[in-house]
This record gives sequence, structure tokens and C-alpha cells, in this order.
Amino acid sequence: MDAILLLFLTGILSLFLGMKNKPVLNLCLNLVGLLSAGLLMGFHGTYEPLLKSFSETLVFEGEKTLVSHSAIALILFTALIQLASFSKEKNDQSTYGDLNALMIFALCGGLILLGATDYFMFFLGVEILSIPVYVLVGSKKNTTFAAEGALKYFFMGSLATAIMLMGIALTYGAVGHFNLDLTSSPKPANAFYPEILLPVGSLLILGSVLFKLGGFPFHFWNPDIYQASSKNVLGFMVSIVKISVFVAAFKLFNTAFKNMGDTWNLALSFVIIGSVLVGYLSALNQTSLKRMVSFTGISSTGFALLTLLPNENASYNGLLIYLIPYVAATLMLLFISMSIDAKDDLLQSFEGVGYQNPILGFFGLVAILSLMGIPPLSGFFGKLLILQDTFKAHHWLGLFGLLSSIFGAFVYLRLLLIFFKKSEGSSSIPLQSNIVFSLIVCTLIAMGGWIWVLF
Amino acid sequence: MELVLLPLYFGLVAFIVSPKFGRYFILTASLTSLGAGLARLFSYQPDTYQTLFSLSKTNALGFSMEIGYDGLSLVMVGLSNLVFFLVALANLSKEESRSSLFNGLFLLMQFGLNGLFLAQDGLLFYVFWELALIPIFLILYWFGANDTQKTWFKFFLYTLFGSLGMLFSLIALTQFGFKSFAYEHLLKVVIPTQYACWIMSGFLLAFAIKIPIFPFHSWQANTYDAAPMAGTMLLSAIMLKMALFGLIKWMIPLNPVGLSFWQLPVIILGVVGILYGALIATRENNIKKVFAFASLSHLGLIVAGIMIFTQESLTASVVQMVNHSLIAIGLFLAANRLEVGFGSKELSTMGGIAKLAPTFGVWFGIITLIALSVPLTAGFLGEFLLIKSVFQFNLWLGVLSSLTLVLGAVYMLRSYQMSMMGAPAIATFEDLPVNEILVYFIITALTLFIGLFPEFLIQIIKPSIEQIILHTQNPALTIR
Amino acid sequence: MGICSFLLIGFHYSDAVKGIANSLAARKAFVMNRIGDVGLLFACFMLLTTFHSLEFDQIATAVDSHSGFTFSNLTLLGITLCLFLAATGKSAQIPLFTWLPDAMAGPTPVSALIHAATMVTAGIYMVTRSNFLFELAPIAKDVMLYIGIATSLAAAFMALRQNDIKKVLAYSTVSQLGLMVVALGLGAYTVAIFHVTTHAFFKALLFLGSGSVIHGMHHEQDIRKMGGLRKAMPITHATFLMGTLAITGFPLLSGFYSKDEIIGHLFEANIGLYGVIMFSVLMTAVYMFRLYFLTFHGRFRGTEAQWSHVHESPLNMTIPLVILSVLSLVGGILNLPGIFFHKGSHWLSTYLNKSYGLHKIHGHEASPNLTLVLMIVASLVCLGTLGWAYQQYVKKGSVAKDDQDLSGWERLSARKLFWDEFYHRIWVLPTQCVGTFLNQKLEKRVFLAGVFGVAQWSKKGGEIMGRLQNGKLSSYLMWMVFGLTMLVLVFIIKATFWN
Repeated sequence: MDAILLLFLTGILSLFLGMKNKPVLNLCLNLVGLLSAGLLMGFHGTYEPLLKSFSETLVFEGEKTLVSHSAIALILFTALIQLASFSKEKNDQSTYGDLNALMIFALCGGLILLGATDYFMFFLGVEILSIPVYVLVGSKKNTTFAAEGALKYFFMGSLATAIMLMGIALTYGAVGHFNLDLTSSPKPANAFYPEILLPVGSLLILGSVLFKLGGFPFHFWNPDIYQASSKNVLGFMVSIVKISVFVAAFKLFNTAFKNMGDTWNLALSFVIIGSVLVGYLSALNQTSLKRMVSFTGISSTGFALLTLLPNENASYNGLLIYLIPYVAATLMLLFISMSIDAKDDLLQSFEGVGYQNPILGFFGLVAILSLMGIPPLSGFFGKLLILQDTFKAHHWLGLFGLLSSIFGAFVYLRLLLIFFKKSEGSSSIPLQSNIVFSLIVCTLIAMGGWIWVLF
Repeated sequence: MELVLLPLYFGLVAFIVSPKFGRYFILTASLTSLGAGLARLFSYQPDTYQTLFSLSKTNALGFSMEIGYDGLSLVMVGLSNLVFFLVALANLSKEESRSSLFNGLFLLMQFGLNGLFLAQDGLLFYVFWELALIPIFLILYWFGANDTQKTWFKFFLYTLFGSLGMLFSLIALTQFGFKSFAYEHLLKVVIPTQYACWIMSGFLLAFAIKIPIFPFHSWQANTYDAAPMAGTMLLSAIMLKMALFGLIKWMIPLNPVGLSFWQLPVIILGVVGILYGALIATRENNIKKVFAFASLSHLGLIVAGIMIFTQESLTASVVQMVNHSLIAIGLFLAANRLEVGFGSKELSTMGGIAKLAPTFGVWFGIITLIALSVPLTAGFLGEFLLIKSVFQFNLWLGVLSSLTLVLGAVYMLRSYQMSMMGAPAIATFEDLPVNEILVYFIITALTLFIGLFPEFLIQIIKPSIEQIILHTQNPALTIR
Repeated sequence: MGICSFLLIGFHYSDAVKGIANSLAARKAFVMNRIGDVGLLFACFMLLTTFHSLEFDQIATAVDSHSGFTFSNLTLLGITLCLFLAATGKSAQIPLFTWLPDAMAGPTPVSALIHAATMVTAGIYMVTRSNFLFELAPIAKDVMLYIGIATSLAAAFMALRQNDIKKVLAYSTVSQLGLMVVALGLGAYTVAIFHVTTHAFFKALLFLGSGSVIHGMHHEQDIRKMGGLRKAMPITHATFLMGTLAITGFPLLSGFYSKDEIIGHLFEANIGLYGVIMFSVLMTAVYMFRLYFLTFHGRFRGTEAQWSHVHESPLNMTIPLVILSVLSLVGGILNLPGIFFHKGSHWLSTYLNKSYGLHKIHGHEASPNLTLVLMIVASLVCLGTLGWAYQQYVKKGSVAKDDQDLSGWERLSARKLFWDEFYHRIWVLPTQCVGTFLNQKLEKRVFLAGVFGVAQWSKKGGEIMGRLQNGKLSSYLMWMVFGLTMLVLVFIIKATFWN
């Protein structure tokens, strides 16, 4: 809780500093704020918090748990993005403070979402997370594209929110309270068809969650919105939005709705298969990096949705080890793209970069291999964990998940070949230290993240 | 641990070494690794097992990261180091040996392969399997022929597809027993019969694509053709030994029940591969493809031998594996020299080299004869025992597989004669540089040595094979 | 042996004109020998399986005493047939004999050594060594007998109209080997070895002699271009004559004895076959005398330039010729039949009988009268043919015809009964066709295309997907609603109908 407050303060300060037009100071302040918040979150259980968390509606459990790990990851990624997107160009500096502040506010929302123990907080978290992101999407200047994207996102997001509210309402109608934990044992309420209300409610919530994540029939906004945003916003969406919503959904569906697995079993299977196929098939022909990121993101989401399937011994390890390196790798790709600094975002701008710039090439290699799921990078171990858990209960889906790696390999191999094309001449790209630093951190996650699981 | 770590260390350093010293660095590095391997080999007491590294804690993955060796693994590591050394030696005169990228990838690949042979944990085996794929792929992509994106795509994805099969099998194995990937635990897993052959087929798919076994071979010819010389050598001499090793050590002992189901089909495919490869090799005009199909042919026999799974056939397979690696290096070296000298790989354009470059003529001739498994060489021992095993398994399959001797003579002699004999088709032809002569010499010496004194090799692998077979017959036994 | 033979045959590989042909001949030899080797390999496998040993002694004892080894007659038949297959490869019998004539592409000393005297007899030797196995498989012996006869006949026929000195001698070798195999088929192992020895003498002599002729004629090998060389090359002529007489079975020379023993055994076995073999012997005489007369008698038919160069060969060539001719003359001593000298007769047979098993087989000898009669018949055949040949070639001066003048049977002979072409049709072409078929059709169309096809479909799929993503908000929202509806609907249907 303290962390959230701290972050909120940081955000406001950042706004003000932004008005004063001091980007460097702004960045430093943000980083300090984020760092402290991260520390607070990390040592959460070990000190007496300043504010008791809202009568137990926000709970961030002790040290090594799903929530606290995700939270730290979120904060880390935000920091990295802000660091990497710092540029010395004049035009970007005026809105720098605003963007950072919005990001931090959204981050607060994400953290609230993570720690929610009842539906109010859940909803609140989603909204606080989403609304700044709507604005962020439209923040790229001088393009109508961005405005269109923001508007589209807003409309569809609103629909999703409405659906979620309906779902929450139905759930309340079925069990009579808003608490997440006790939902699984519905108390009979005096509404008709009580045995339908709860499941349908959960399905509606699932639907809106799928929207946020980009799952199959709800994924259509993804490519357009991703393409419309600038790279740092894109990175932010991929990391913060995905991780927080995923973890919250995991908590919801695997802990709260634990015994209701049959409800969404079949439907989710279709969603998973659809997402994976649509994602990879569409990604094959892409020429734009952002759209490719979006489509592969849809597929990755589909794969990660395997963890939402009902499973007796669900552990969150797989989800985390899969998601966080995935995000890290995607961010790496985006950072590399920022380094190349091409005005359009065609994949062709990547051509031969890896071969001519060994350092960027190394980072790119790590990123792509992690996405492909090649050992010993973390991406592989994440996939392995998820598959191991899935196989016990759902054989065919597990097999499909395995096969999805080959589809992914298709797409990523294409990227790899372009990136490492052997070309004569050497156009070396000046490396900005902030981007490099971010890249290094992400590499560490991608390469070594799984070691953390072993111990 | 130095067996595994030395190449890794050298590989990372190689990226920094300047191109001037690149060639000598890589030679020294592979020589050092070879020395380490040989030291272990000579000091090895047969029928013991040595652990090199192990994790004590259990973890969520079930990953135990255990590395160790017994006789068979040690021989394979020795072979791997030898192959890398020979390839580095052979590659001295070529452009790419100067490139630090190439050297680094080369040594990293050695790291992957050594690790694979030494892995005593299923997941570690898989990790190294995939890991070894990346350097070779990059070597092929950067240093191979241009405009062959399709070929590389196919190679990578096809192999990856097979690997996923293996992953499936591994995951399935952990579902049925202990949640651990360690070899000893995997061995104890009791698989319900109806799943046994599916699980084996996962492994089989991976290995069948890698070796390759008959219907899964379509990536091989083009990849070998378009690859740089070192790339082809590495692929043929050591990468597919990964898969053969996996067959012996991983696929069959882990589910012996599946063996009875897959034994006959795979042996038949092996024999078909022998004939198919040999027949195509007799008509193929591109010399690298001829040797690629020759490789397919020889490997078909080895695979059949492995699947028969008796003490004798397994021993023969291992001997033949070693022999095949050496031959592959020799043949592709010769093919490369022809390509360099003529500027093309088409046999129909060649001729009369023996007159222009007598040293080359002699050595290529010797290698051809070794490839024909003439008596006194390791090849004869291997093929004799293998054909005998197949013959004892099934009369007609034995007869068919013995055709490899005849067809082998046809295509090998054809390649040799079309390139070496007759009137010279070109004015000048550079004769062999010293490093290539050295490579040929080492290959000849080794095959003769193994052919004449096979005991040295056999006594090391015998206990391992005995244990594996014992275990297959009685799954309750633990083997090391 | 196979390797060295291969390398030696292909010795003149860099010859501008015939280099490739020479190499191809070498390859043919190697491949055919390989096929024979497969036979040996299988025999080894079967021996290992049955007797757990490959040692001659051990197997011999095992066969004899039946101690603990069970083997069926079928197994033994298989073993012996495989062994014989190997023998046909090395010793140039049907079906694996066509390499021998082609092997004449090698240098003459090579031909003399390995293709006349030493290497080709390896097959005979092996069968003799394994005699205890063959004795237990009478069918195999019959096979050997018939193949030997057939080979002997066919080769002799082919030699009738060959015009290259070395080719004639090559076919002669095949024919004589056939005789040896006949002896083996009759169980007369020591006789076969005897003939091996004498054949070595006179065939080597003939080959070296022909080498000398070729040398003198400056590498001309066609006998149609020779003639009347006896004045120019006296030593060569004399020794060659000696060899010719030996091979045709001129009385009292070495070949006479060895051939006669074989013919004698055959007569006892089967008179019909005896007649056939006599026909072969007749043809042998015919072609050998033809060769001799056309080369050394008559007028010279070559060019002026060649005639001026014709000279006797140097001593290093002629001395061996002389030595060999002496041996051909008196070599019969080794195994004289009993009718002449009772002491010291059949020395070779006695000596060899110490080798295991041979003494058990070789028990009897033909009656002296029969032997005498057969000898006389054989001598008459030889002398008669000599006389006829003399008439034909010297008196009448008949010369070898040119190719277009050949009559029907002559063409058949000159073209070697079209055997090579036949083999080409049934072995080489189909293999090539299969190989090409596999390469072009199967490999390229099915396998390569199949895997690439997957890639094509994925691309198509991607394109279809692309059309769904059309940028219109309304369609997106419609999809969302659709998805949501499906989510709920599926659940409701499942809940109502399945529970």
C-alpha cells in the first residue's frame, strides 16, 4: 500500500516537473520513486506499514509470492521503459513529464489490480490502469493515427468495462458479497437460477479480461492500437497491462473460482486455439514491427491462457516464468527498434542490423531466441513449466501448446533471418547508454530468469 | 567439468580474438579440448561412472542438472573433440576460419555437444540439444551459400519440430513417475503400455529427423550442399551422432516396452534408407549431394543396428559411428577441394585430377577405399557385424542391407573416377596444403588403428552397453 | 586383393583416350568382386551362426563329428552356395565373369600375374579348402559342375573370334577356370589344384609372351595386324608355341595331364557331359591355334612402320618366358597318372591329401585302360585340330576377317554372346533408372515439395487472417459481442444438456 502511495506522489511530482520542462530531473525523480516503491514492495512483510491497507481490501502478501513478484516486475519494467524512452530530442521533451506521470498512474492501477481482494478493488484497478493508457495511446504527436487508435481503444475498452461490471453484478447476485476469496462457495441467494448466475458472471468477467489481454474473439483492437502508439507506450502496454491483468485473472480463476472449472473449460480451449492460430498466422505476413509484436502477443497470450484452465495443482511459477521473460524479450525488441530509430516501423529497417552491430545483434539474438523458446533462455523454461502443468489435465491442449512453438518458430525465424542478414557495408548505429542499460537488464531476465525458479 | 567448460570458455573468448590470430586460436582451443578428452579417455576405468556436477536441491521443474560420464558418453565426447579438432585443422586454409564470429560459434557448438553427451538429466539433454542447433544454424546462415533462405528455414524448423517431439516425450515421462528429469529417475518410470509407443515416438521423431532416417531426410541434401565445408563436416560428423547417441542411451532404455513396437518399422526404414541413399548417390551429379546420400545410406545401416539392440549390434554401431564421422570429414574435405579447384560441384565437369595433383589423388583414393569398408579398417569391422546382426534378425533384410557393399562400391568409385581419372578437364589444380594432408593422415591412421585393434574402443563401451541392454530387459534394474 | 587388382587394372587412368575406359574396367572388376564378397560375407554369417567359429579346422571337426552343432542340410547348402558365389566372383565364372576380359585394360604383367595365375585361382582354392562342407552338400557340387561346364563352353565360344591377343587369352582363362570348377564339382579337389598349377605355368607364359609381342609391335594388340612374327621374334615364338601346345593338351606336356585327369573324372561321372567338355576342349584347341598361327605365321599384315620396328624383346622379358616354357613342358611330373610310372605318381595328390578331409574323398583311381583310351582320344583331338589349323591358316593363308564380314555365329562369338550388353540391360540400366527416378521424382517432388507445401499453406492462412483485420471498429465490436455470446451460450448449452 505504501508503495502505491509513493508512486502516486511520484506521479504528481512528475507532472509538475513536466510543466517546468526539466526532463532529466523528471527522469531521475521517477526512477527514484520507482526504486523506492520497488523496495517497499519487496520488503513488504517485514516492516510495519504506514497505512493499513484499506481494511484488507488490498493485500500484498509476504515476500516470495505471485503478487509481490509481479509487482516488482511491473515496477522494474516501468523504470526500464522510462529510462529507455528518454530522448534528447526537443519535440519529445514537452510531453515527457506528462507521459511519465500517466505511466506511473497506470502502474498504480496495475498494482491495485494485483493486490485486490474484492471486486471493488479489482474494478478500480482495471479502470485506473486503463484510462491513462487510453490517453497514452493517443499521445504520439502529429498523427491522426494515434487519435484513431486511442478512440478505438476507448470505445472497445468501455464495452469491456461494461461487460465486466455486468459480470460482477451477476456474481454479487449469486453470492451476496463482493469478496473475491469466498466466491467459490456460493451462498444461496434469492435470485432465480442461482446456479446460472455465478458461472455466467464469471464468464462475463472472463470475457472482459480476455479483451484486455488480447484473446481470440476480442483481439481485434490489438494490432491497430499497437501500431498507433509510440514504442514506449507499446512497451508499457505489453508489460504492465498484460502482466497485471494476467496475474489478477490467475488469482481470480484459480483461487477464487477454483471449483468452477467446468464453466469455462471448453470455451477457453477454443479461445486458446483461436488466439494461437490467429496470432501466428497473421504474424507471418507482417511487414510492420508493431503489428508483428501485437500478433505474436496474441499468440503468447493464448499460450499463457493455458494456465487459466482448471487444474488441481496450479502453481503460478509457469505463468510468471513465461510472462516476465516474454515481456522482457519484447521490450528488448522494442528497445532495439528505438535504437535503430527508423522513422517508419517496417521490419525491413531491421535488416542486417544484427550482423553489422554485434552488440545489438547479441541483444536481438537473446530476445528472439527467448521468444522462440529455445533453451537455455527463460522463455523455454516458462513454456516447459506451463506445459508440464497443463499436460496432466488436458492432454490435447498440451499437445497443441507444444505445437504452437513451431508456429512461433516460423515467425521468429523470419525475424531472425532479417535481423542477421549478411550484408556488406557497416552502418553502425550509435548506442545510447540508457537504452543499452535497459537492454542489459532485460537480457539478464531473459537469460537467467529461470535460475531463480530453481532455488 | 573441464570437458564442458573449456569449449564454452574458449568460445566466448573467440568472439574477442582478432581475426589475425583467429585460425591459430581455434586450433589451439580445439587441441586443448582434445587433449582433455583424451586424458580422460585414457585414464578411464571401464565400468565406472563419474559424476562431474550435480545439483542437490530439488526444484519446481524437476531439473537436476547432472553431468557425468560412463564409457559410452566418454567415447562420444572423445569423438566430438576429435571431430572438432579435425574440422578446425581442415578449415585452416579457408576464409571463414579467420572470422571471430565463426570461431566463437564453432566452439560454442562444441560446448553444446559435449554437454549433451555428458548430460545425465533429460532436461539438460534437451537444453543442450537445442542449444547446439543455434550456432550451427548461424554458421550455415552466415557462411553458407547465398540465396538459400528456404533451405535454412527448412533445416531449422524441421529439426525444431522433431525436438518438440522429444520435449513431449520428456514431459510425458515426468507425468508418469517422479517429477524429476534425472536419468536415474526417468529410468524407473513405469509407463502404461498403451502410452509407451507414443512416448517413444516423440523421441523417435526427433532423432529420425536429425539423423536422418528415410522419410524424414529431405532437408539433408540441400543443407549439406549449401553449407560451408566446416558446416557440412560438423553436421555430418558429429551432429547426427547426437541423435544416434540419443537412440541408444535415451530413447530405448527409457521405455523398453515401446521397442517391440517400433523395432521392425525402424529397421525396415533403415534398410530402405540404405538402398535409397545408395541408389540416388549413383546418379547424383553434385558431389556434395553424392556424399550426403552416401551418408544417409551408411546411417541407415547404423540405425538398423541400433534398433536390433543386442550387445554385438550396438558395439558395431558405435564403432561404425566413429568410423562414419572420420569418413565424413575426409570425404567432404575432398569434395571441398574439388569444388575449390574446379569452381563447381558437378561431377560431369571434372576429370583427370589425379594427374595434376597426385597427392590429392592418392589421399582421396585412400579415403574412398576406407569409405568402402575394405578389410583392415574400422568400417569393415562395423559393417560386417552390423550386416550380420541384421541378417540374424531377418534374412531378407540382411540380404538387402548387404547391397550397401555393392552399391557403395559403385557410387564411391564413380565419384572418384569421374573426378580423378581420364583426361584433365582443367589446366592447373592446386595440390593439397599441409593441413589437409595431415587431416587425411589422421583419419587413415585412426580407421586403421580401430580396424586392427578395436579392443581399445570396445572395452570402454562394453560395460555401458551391457548395462543398457540389461536394463532394457529388466526395467527394474538401475543402471548407471 | 580386390583393391590392388582394382588399382592395377586402372593403372593407365590418365590415358587421354582410354583413361576413363580403363577406370571403368577397374570399377567393373571391383564391383563384381564385391558382389562375390557379399556371398562370402553371408557364408561367414551362416558359419558363425551355426558353428560359432570361422576357423577351418574347427568347422571341419564339427562337421565331421556332429558334436553338438545342429545344422540342417539346407544351412549347409546355403553356406556352400554362398561360398561358391564368392568363388565365381574371384575366379570369373558365370555369372560374375565379365570383368576379366575387361581387366585386360591393365598392363600385361598384371594380367599375367593376377588374372591368369594367382588371384583368379583364389576361388578355386577357397572351395578346396572348404571341401568338407561341399561334400555334405551335393546339390552345391552339382551347381558347380554345371556352371563350370557352361562357363567353359561359353568362354571358349567367345574366344573363337576375338581379335585382341589379350582378350583371347582372357576368355581362355575363364574357360580353363571353368574346367577347374568342373573338377571341383566332381569332388576331384586335388586334380583341380593340379590344373591350377599347370595353368599358372602356361597361362602366365602365354600372357607374358603376348606382352612381348605387343611390345615388339609397339603396343599393337590386334592380331589382324600381325603375322609372320616367328622370324622376327624367335624366342617369343618358340615359347609361345610351347604354351599353346600345353594349353591345348598336346600329349605329354603339362596341360595334357591335368586336363586329362579332369576329363577322366568327368567321363566316369556322366558320359554326356564328357562329350560336352570334349567339345569345349576342341574349341580351346581351335582358338589357341588360330591365335598362334595368325600371330606368328603367314605374311605380316601391319604397316611398314610397324614392321621396321618389330624386334625380339630384351632379355628381361625373354628369360622368364623360357623358364615358364620349361615348366609348362615338364610340369606334368607333379601329378603323373598311374599308367606311366608307378613310382612317384600322383605326387601332388598324395601331398595334398594330408590336408584335412581330402584323403577321405579321394579314394579311387580310374582303371588304366580307361585312362589310356581317354588320353588317346584327347591327344587325337589336339593333334587333329593342330593339323586342321595348320591347313587353314598356313596353307590356305586364311586370315581373320574384318568385322563386317563376319557370319552369324562368328558375330555372336566376336560380340561375346552379347553378354555385357545383357548385363547392362538387366543390372546397370535398371539401377540407373531407379536411381534417377528416385532422385527426380521421389526426392524432388514428394519430399522437398511436401515440406515446402506446409510453408505455402501457412502463408495462405496468414492472408486469410489478414482480411479479418479490417480496421473497422464496428466489426471489432461485433466480434466482441459474438465472442461473449458464444462464451455464455456454450456454457448454458453444456449445463443444460450434459448434466
